[in-house]
Amino acid sequence: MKKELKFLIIANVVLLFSIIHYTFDLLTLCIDDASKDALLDEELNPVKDPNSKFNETHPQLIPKIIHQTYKTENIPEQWVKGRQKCVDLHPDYTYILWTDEMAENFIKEKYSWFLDTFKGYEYPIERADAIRYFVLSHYGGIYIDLDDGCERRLDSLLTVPAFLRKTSPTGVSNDVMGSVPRHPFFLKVIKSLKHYNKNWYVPYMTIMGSTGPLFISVIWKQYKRWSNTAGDDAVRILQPADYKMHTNSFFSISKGSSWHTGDANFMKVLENHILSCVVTGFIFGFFILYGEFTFYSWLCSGPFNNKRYIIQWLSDKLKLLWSKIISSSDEDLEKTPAPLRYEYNSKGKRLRKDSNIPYDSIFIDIEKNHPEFTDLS
Amino acid sequence: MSTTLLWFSSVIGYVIQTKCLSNIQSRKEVPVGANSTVATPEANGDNGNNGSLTFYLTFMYFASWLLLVPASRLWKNMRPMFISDSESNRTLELNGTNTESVMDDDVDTFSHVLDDPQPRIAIQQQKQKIISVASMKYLAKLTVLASIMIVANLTYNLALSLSPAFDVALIQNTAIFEIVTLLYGVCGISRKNYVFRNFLIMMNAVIGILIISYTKATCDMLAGKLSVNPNTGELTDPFLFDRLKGALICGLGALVMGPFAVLWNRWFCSNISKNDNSAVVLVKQSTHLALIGVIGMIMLLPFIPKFPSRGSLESISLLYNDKSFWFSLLGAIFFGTLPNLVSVLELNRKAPAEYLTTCNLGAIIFMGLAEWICEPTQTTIVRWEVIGYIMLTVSLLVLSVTLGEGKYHH
Repeated sequence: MKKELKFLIIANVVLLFSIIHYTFDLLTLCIDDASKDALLDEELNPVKDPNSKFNETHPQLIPKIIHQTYKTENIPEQWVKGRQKCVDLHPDYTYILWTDEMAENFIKEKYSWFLDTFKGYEYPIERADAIRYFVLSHYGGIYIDLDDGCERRLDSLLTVPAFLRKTSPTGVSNDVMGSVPRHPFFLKVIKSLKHYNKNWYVPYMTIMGSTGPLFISVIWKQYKRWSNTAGDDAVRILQPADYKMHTNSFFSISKGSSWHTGDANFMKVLENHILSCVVTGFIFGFFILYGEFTFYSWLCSGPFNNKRYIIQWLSDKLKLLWSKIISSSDEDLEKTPAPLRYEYNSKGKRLRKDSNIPYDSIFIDIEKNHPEFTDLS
Repeated sequence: MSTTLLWFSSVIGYVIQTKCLSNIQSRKEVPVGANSTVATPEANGDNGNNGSLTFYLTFMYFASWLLLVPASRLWKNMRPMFISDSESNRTLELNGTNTESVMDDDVDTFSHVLDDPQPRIAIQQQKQKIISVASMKYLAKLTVLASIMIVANLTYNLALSLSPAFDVALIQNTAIFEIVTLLYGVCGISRKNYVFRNFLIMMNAVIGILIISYTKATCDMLAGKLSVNPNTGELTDPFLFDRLKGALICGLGALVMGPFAVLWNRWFCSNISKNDNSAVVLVKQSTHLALIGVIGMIMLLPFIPKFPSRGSLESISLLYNDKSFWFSLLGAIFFGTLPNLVSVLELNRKAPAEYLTTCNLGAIIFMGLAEWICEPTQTTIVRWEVIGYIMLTVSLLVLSVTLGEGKYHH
């Protein structure tokens, strides 16, 4: 095997392993349907059956607090109804609406080590995302996005130490969450926020990856992999049917995603054409790898296969550059064309098909009757 | 038989196989009983669920490879009917007085176990010694190839249970086309003529595939197969995740076909000369595949969840009781898998190795045609889809000419 090919293969293998290493959590997310951690129907909708093991009343672990966030206390019209429904359905719950000012004061007072990161977030929605993790970790309770209206009482969700909502096509979302105070998962989440505060140059990706659903999904996978997720440390998953649009769903959705910009809409278009996204990935990989192979073939077959030629080519290029720099101050010299090595004119190929003279030898074709060398007239 | 005919046989065989297997995987209800009551296989315990059905179909696929030996022998006997007089004369000239070589003696399995050319006496000695180093090497090669094929087939069948047949065909053939083209080039199996020009044509082909895959979702929406929720702007598709999973699993699983193609060519095709009788070569290669099928079946046995037993009729899956299940399966085997494999083996011998990759592009085009023929009322065609197909077809024709140059005929 040629040395160049070995380098090419090693470089690609290293690249592949690096990509797998950095995207391992995302890759494992694809094959995790969260069914093992799912909140069961018997748990969410206990029946009055004497034989059912879920019949006994479970202790409510999560405190009866509902958290919501908005920049001010003036909530947009389309969300007022849903919010009011949550308040009306839960008169025995404490309701807290976290405004931007309250959030900043809370972080300053309780988590001052995070204040710089909190203030430094480029997009306000990142702050809204971050504060919900902190308040859940600190006070416990249930966080609900303002565009999620309550459809029924949330008491049965309080019987688990923590829960998240499964989202489509994969992972979990941060629009509805619940936790006891100082749950290890949410402690891990708030510790990880600084590390994941990166700019991905596309607003949607930056928000999703630094504080949003992608961030929480990745942390959830890491938590499941490295921590003891049984008993009081468990994080249970609310399934899509229990979330919205079904008979026993807890929530109803109204128009939301106020932070979505053009790139988010583009992402939705991609989601609608999911097959073409996968095909694009394969084509991109093929383009890179076959492009490398084509380049490699060209290097092997062309004049660049010769080390002497490359050194000579480089030195001539440098000379040419140097002469250009010198001639820039001298107009007369500028008019004189820079000398080119003969083999470049012939593109490194043999001058004649029947010639055995190597291309890197300077060869003046006498048949062209060069005036400096010979005169055949 | 001309390479063009073999090409069509290979492509159409693949389309039939995929459509039939997809039909089996997508069956949710089967008629049972005298009054044609409807039952759901999933409700009948774990014997008929998608996981076990995937393993079962993969097992059956490998089992069908056992039919390759009789099929190739039949092909060998029927071959004079397909080849032209000039080809026939040439074959006779090549064989000369050695016509007997076509007979069963040379088609014996163990005569080709040893790839190294050795004296006849040594081969005879090896024949007597079944457990030899060469036999173990041969077995190891077959086991490696069988392991690769298990991955490729399991992912193919699993994807068919998750996604529509067209999606699976598109992503699988794209992945195989790309990886085989790449590995043939890197491993020096394909010729290095016009690499850059071919690269541009291939990119044109895959961009055509990309356009087809993108417009397919648009067409499905226009045809009413998919819809977008006006409130959320999201696709109202409960199987969206399944589609993504199916495409990823199938595409990544199909990548192992690259090493399979390279190893097959290195191990079982490199020692074939022009003077070898094509019928004998076909039977030999079919025997290799049949043995790979046997090893594959043995390897799959521990994963087959339950076999229906005579004593417990209630445990037999409703699906396996259904006649249309067996009809589709046998259709897939006899009109799909067997013609496809025999044609692929013949094409691989008759044409340059890289020519076979054009079959993958052809399979995508013919799968689209099959969709259009099978579901004429549910198919909507948009302008860009047609453009995608035109780009793919033109690239396919150009590649067929350039990659097929220098093919030799027996």
